[in-house]
Amino acid sequence: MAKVQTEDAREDAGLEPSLGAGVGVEGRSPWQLFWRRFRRDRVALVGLVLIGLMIAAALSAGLFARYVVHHPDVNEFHFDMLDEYGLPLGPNKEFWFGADPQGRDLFLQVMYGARTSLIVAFFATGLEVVIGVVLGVIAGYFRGKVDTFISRMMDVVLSLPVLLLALGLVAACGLQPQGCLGGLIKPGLLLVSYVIGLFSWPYLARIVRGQVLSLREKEFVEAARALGASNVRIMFREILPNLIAPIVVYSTLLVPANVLFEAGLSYLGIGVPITTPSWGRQLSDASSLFQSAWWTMFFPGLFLLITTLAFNLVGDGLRDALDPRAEAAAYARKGRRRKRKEAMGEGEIVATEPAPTGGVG
Amino acid sequence: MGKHVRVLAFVAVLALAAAACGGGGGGGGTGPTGPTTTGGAIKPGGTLRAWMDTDVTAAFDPQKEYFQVSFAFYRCCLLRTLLSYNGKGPDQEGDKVFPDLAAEMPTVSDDGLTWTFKLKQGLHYAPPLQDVEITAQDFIRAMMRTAKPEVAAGYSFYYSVIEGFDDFAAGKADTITGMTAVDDYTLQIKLTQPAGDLGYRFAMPATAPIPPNPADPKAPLGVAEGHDDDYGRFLVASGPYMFEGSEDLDFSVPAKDQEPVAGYQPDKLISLVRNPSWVADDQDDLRPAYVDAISVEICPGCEQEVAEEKVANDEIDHIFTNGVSAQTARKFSQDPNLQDQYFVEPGSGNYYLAMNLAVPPFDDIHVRKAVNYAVNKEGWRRLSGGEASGEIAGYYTPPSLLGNLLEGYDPYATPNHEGADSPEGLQLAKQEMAQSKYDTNKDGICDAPECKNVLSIGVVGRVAEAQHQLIAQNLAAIGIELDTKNFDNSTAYGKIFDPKNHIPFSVFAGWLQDYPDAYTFYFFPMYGPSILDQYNTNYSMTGASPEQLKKYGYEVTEVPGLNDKIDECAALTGDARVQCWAEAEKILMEDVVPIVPMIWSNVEQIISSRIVNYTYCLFDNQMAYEQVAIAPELQ
Amino acid sequence: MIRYMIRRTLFLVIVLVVVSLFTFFVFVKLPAGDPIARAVGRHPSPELVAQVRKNFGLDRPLWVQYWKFASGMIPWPGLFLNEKVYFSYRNQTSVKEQILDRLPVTVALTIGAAVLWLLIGIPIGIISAIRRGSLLDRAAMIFALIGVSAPIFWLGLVLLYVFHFRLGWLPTAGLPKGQSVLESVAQGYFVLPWFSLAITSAAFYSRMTRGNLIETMAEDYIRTARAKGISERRVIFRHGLRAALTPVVTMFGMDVAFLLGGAVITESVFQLPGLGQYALVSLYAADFPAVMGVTLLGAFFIVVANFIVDVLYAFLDPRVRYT
Repeated sequence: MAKVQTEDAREDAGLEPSLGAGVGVEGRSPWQLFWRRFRRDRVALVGLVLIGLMIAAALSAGLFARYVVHHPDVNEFHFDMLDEYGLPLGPNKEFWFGADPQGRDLFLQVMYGARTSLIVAFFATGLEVVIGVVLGVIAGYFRGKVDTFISRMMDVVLSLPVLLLALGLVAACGLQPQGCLGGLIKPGLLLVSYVIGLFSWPYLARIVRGQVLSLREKEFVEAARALGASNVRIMFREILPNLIAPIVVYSTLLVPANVLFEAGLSYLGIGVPITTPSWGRQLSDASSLFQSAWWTMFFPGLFLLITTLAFNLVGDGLRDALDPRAEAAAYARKGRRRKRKEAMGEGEIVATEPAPTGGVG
Repeated sequence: MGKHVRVLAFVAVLALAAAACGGGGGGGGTGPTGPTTTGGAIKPGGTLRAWMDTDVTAAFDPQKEYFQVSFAFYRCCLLRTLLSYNGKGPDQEGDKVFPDLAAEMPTVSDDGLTWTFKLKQGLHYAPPLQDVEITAQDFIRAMMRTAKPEVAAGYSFYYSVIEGFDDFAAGKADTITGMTAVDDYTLQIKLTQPAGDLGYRFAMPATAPIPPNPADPKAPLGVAEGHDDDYGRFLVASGPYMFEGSEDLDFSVPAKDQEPVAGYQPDKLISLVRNPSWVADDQDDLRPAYVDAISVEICPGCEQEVAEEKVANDEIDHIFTNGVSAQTARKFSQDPNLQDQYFVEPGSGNYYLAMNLAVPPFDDIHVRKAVNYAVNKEGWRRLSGGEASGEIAGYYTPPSLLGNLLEGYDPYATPNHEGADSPEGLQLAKQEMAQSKYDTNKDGICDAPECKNVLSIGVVGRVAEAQHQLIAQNLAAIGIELDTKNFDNSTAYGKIFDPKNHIPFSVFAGWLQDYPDAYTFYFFPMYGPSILDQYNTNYSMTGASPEQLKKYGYEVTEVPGLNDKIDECAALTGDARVQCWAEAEKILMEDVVPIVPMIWSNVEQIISSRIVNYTYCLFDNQMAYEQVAIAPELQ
Repeated sequence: MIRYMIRRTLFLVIVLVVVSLFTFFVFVKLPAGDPIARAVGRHPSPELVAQVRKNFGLDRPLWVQYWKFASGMIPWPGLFLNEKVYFSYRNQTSVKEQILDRLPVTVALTIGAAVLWLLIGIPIGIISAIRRGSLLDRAAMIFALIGVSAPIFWLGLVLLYVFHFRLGWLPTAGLPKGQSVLESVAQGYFVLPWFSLAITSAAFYSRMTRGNLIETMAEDYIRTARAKGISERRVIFRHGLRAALTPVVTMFGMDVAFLLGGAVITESVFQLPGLGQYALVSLYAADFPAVMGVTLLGAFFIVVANFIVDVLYAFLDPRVRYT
C-alpha cells in the first residue's frame, strides 16, 4: 500500500511516476484524481453534509408538519401563540422555534424556507448554467462578430442596476395571481428563479468563454476538425467535456449568491409570494421585533448562513480539487515536514488546506 | 409590522379623505389632560417635534391635497377658512363649524340658494404679504383655481352646486357667476340647488383664500399664477403658523424663477414657525396656538417602531401614523410611566362588507339580511387587534354624525356579535335565509347554484387574509360558498372600482368622511347618480337606475336604493337634517341592506411626556397641534 | 487612442439605450398598478381622470413616453432629469430635487465602505497569500468565508443589535434630520452601515486577492525574479502584486458604481435616506418617474465607470486598444 500511496503523492505533486523495479503503477484518470483530492478535504465534506441536511429538511418539511408537530398548514395562524397584543411567543414544547410575528409555527416556516431557497437556487443556477454555457461556448468558439455580439450582450447585462430591475420585474409580475403579459408569467418561485438567472448568466458565460478560447487552440480540437467533425460536434463533444469541471466548480460557488439574491428580494418584500415561506422574508418580519423576540431572527438567520456557508465550503473544496498547482504550492511550502513524514513511512498525504483558496468567488 | 404589509398600503384610496371633528358618540375616551399638568396656567412656547413615515401627497397644494394628514396641517396651523372647527373631540362640539375668517355664521336666504358671508376685517397674510389684507375676492380666486381643469383639484365636485362653477371649469365663462364680492368684506354665493352642508364645504382647504400678487395685481389667480403644479411650495399662510422662511418668498419674479419655501423639504422636513401677522391680528377664537414652532420629520420607508421608541424616550412628541404597532401598544399599556401617554380615540370612518345588489344571490334581500346575521364581527375585530381597533358597528354611518339618535340601534344583532359562530346567531341567519328564493327547501341553507362559487375580493396581508377566511367560514354555514381571492391593494381596488366587473362581494371596503355630515357617507357609496364608469365607489350599485344597470351589462333590471331620501336630507339644515339622516340610515339598514357594517374605527395616539393639555381633534383624527402646549420646564 | 475612446463612447451610448428600453419596459409597460389612483381623488369625473392622466404624461403613446424618459438621461442642463417628465407621482415634487438631496448620503455610504473594504480586504488577502497555510491564513479565510456567506441584511441587524441595543456604543438606525451628512458621519451614524457593507466586500476581495496573488506567485517570471536574487519583498510588491491586483481594480470600479446607484438593502436596514431607499419607497408606491430616474442614474454610473476603467486600461496597456 505504501508504494501506491507515495505514487499518489508524487502524482499529486505533478511529478513523474517513479520507476520502481517490477511494481505496477496504477494509472488514474483526471476524474479519479479530482474526487480523491476532494474526498480528502474535510472541510468540504462538512459542507456536503450540511447541504445534505438542508435538502433533508426541505424534503421532510411536509412530513414534519403533518406527523411530528401536527400543524399540517404551515401558514396557519395559531392564536394561542400570540399574546394579547398580537406579539409572538417564544420556543416551547409544541413550537420548537416559537411563533413568527404572524403567529405561525416558526420551525415549519424555517423548514419550508429551506425548500424555497434550495429550489430557487437550483433553478436559477441551472438556468444560468444553461444560458451561460451555451452562449459562452458559442462566443469562445466562433470568435469574431459572434463573440463581439455576445460579449456586448454580457456587458449590457452586467451594466444593469440588477437589484432594482429584479425588484421591478418581480413587482410587476409577482404581486397579483394573474401575473403579467396576459398570464404568461405567473408569480411564484419560478418567476424569482427566472429573474435571478436572467441577470446572472454573464458571470458564468465569461468564464466559459475564456476557457473555450484557450481550449480551441489545443491539438485535439485541430485533430477533430481534420477528421471532418462539424462545429457543433466539436463544441459539444470535444470542448464541453473539458469544461465540466470548471462549470461544476463555479456553479457551486454561484449557488450561495443566488440564495442570497432570493433572500434579499424577499427581505425587501418583493420576492416569492407571501404564502411561500422564505428566510429572507422571515428576517424582514423579524427586523422590528427581534429585540423582544430573538427567535424570530435567530433561526431563519442561522439556517440561511449555514446553507450559504455549506455551498461555499463545497465550492471551494471542488476548486481546490480541480487545481493541482494550488496543491503543489502548498506541497512546496510544507516540503520539509512532508519529507520527514515520508521518510518515516507515513505515506498518506492529508489535506493541509482547511481553508479554501481565493479566486473568483 | 413587516415591510411588505405596508408595501401596498400606499395606494389605498381611503387614506385620502379627511375626517371631521365629530361630536357626540361613544368609543374610547379622550384621555386626561396631559400627564404633567401643573396647577397653574399653560405656558406658551417650545417646539413640538413630530414624525411621519410618508410625505404629503401634493406638496401642500391646497387644491390638490386630499389627504387626512395634510388637512390636519391646514386646519391647525397654516390656513384659515371662512368657517372652521374648534379642534376638539366628540363631546366638545368638535363636529360643528364656527366662524374663522367669517365674522359670524353666514346668512342663508329662505329658498336656501343664497349664502352671504361677512368677513372679519383687518386680517393679513403671513410675510412676505403681511401688508395684504384678506378680502372677499381672495375666496373667489381660490374657487377659480379649484375649478381650473389643469389643476385637477381632488374634490371640486363639492362646488358644482355653485352657480357658474361648472361653466367656468368648462371654459365657457371668465368668472364664476355665482360668487360675488359685494364689497371687500362681504362674499355672496348663489347655488343652483339648496345644500345644507355648504358651511362644511367652505371649511375645506381648497376654499382657503389665495392672496393677490402685489407685483402683478391683474393676475387672475394671484400668487398662484403660473404654479399649476407646485403652488404648495409657495403657500402663504393665514393661520397661526407659517412655513419657516416664508418671508423669503419673492412673488415679484416670474413663477418659474421663484424659489420654493424653505420650511417644507419634500421627504425630509416640515418646519413651521409662528406667523407674525396672525399674532398681530389677534382675531382667532378657535386656536390658542401655544407652541412656538412645529418641526415634523418625514421619513419615508422608515420603521414605525423606531419612531415609537423615540416617543417613549421623549425624543419625539407625536407621530402621524395608521395605528400603533402591537409592540408599542403593549409597552405603553403596561408601563405605569407611559400609561397616560397612550389614547384610544373614536375615528371618523368605518369598515364594511359590500354586496352587489345586482349580482345573484345578493339580489335577494333575505340573502343580504342573512349574511348580516351570519358574520362574526367580534372575531373579525379580534383579528384587527381587538377593542382598540374600533367599536362594533350596528349600522353604517358613525354614530357621532347622527347625533347619537340611533344609540343602541343594531337591527342584525347576535349574541356577543359572533354571528353564525353562536347558535342563536346561526339560527337567526338561517331563519332569514329560509325566506329567500335561493333556499329551495327552506332549511335555512342556500342550495341554489347562485350561492356556489361566489367571487369575493380581499386584500393581501396577514390580518386581512385571516379575516377573509373567517367571513368565508361564516357564510358557508348558511350555504354561501365564497371563491376568495386576495390581491394587493391597488389591484383589489381596481377590480371593485369598475361596475362592469360585476364583483359580487368585497370584504375590505371602508369609508372615511370628508366632513362631519352624513352626506359624505351617502353621496359616494350609496347614491345611484354617483356611480362612475371608473373609480366608482358605489360598490353595491345602490340606487342604480335600470338604464345604468343595462349600461354596465347587468342582467338584473332593478335594485333598491334611497336616492330620493338622500336628496331630501341634503337640502335640509340643522336638527331636521340630522333627523333626516337617521331616518335614511334605517331605510338603508332595513329596506336596502347593501352592506354588512363591521366596525367604526378607532385611532390610537401616543405622545411624549412633554405634552400638556392633550386634545384630540376629531376632524384631524389626530392630536390637535394648535390646542396643546409643551410643559413649561421642558420648553 | 482617440479612435478607441470614440468606440467606447459609442458603446456607452448603446448600452444606455438598451438599459433605458429595458427599464422602461419593466417599470412602465408591465405593472398593473394604477399610478393615478391617489391623484384623482374619491369621485373623479371622466374629465378629471383625463386631466390627471395628461398631467402625468400618460395620455401619450408609449414611444413618446419612452422618448421623454430617455431624453431625461441626456446630461444636458435643462434636459437631465427635467421636471416635466421626472415629476414624482407620490408627492408631486421634482425627482431631480430628491435625488440631489439624497446623493450625499449614498456617496458617504459608498466611499466610507469602499475605503474600509480596501483597507481590510487587500492587506488580509496579501498576508494570507504570503503566509499561506499558517494560522493567520486560516483565521483570515474563515472570516472571509463567513463574510461572503452572510446576507448583508442579517449582518446589519446583528451589528445593530450588538453595538447599539446591547452595548450602546453606536447610534441607532436612521439619520437625524436638520444636519448635514458630514455631521452625521462625524457622529458615527455611518459606522455600522459601513461595516455591514465592507465586511461582505472585504471578505470577497481578500479571497480574490489571495487567490490571484498565489497564482501569480507561481508564475514563471516570479521564479525568474527570485532566481535573479531580488528580495522576496520586492518580488511580491513590485512584480506579484501588480498582476494580482489588476482584476481587483476592475471589480472595484464596478462595485463602487453599483453602490452609487443605491445600496438598497443596506439603506433599508439602517434607514438611511439615500438613493436606494428612495428607489424602494418609490417602487412600493408605483411612482414610476422616480424609479426610472434612480434606475437610469444607477445604470449611468455603472456605464461611465466601465468607460473610465476601460480607457484607463487602454492608456496603460496599448494592446487593449485593438480589441
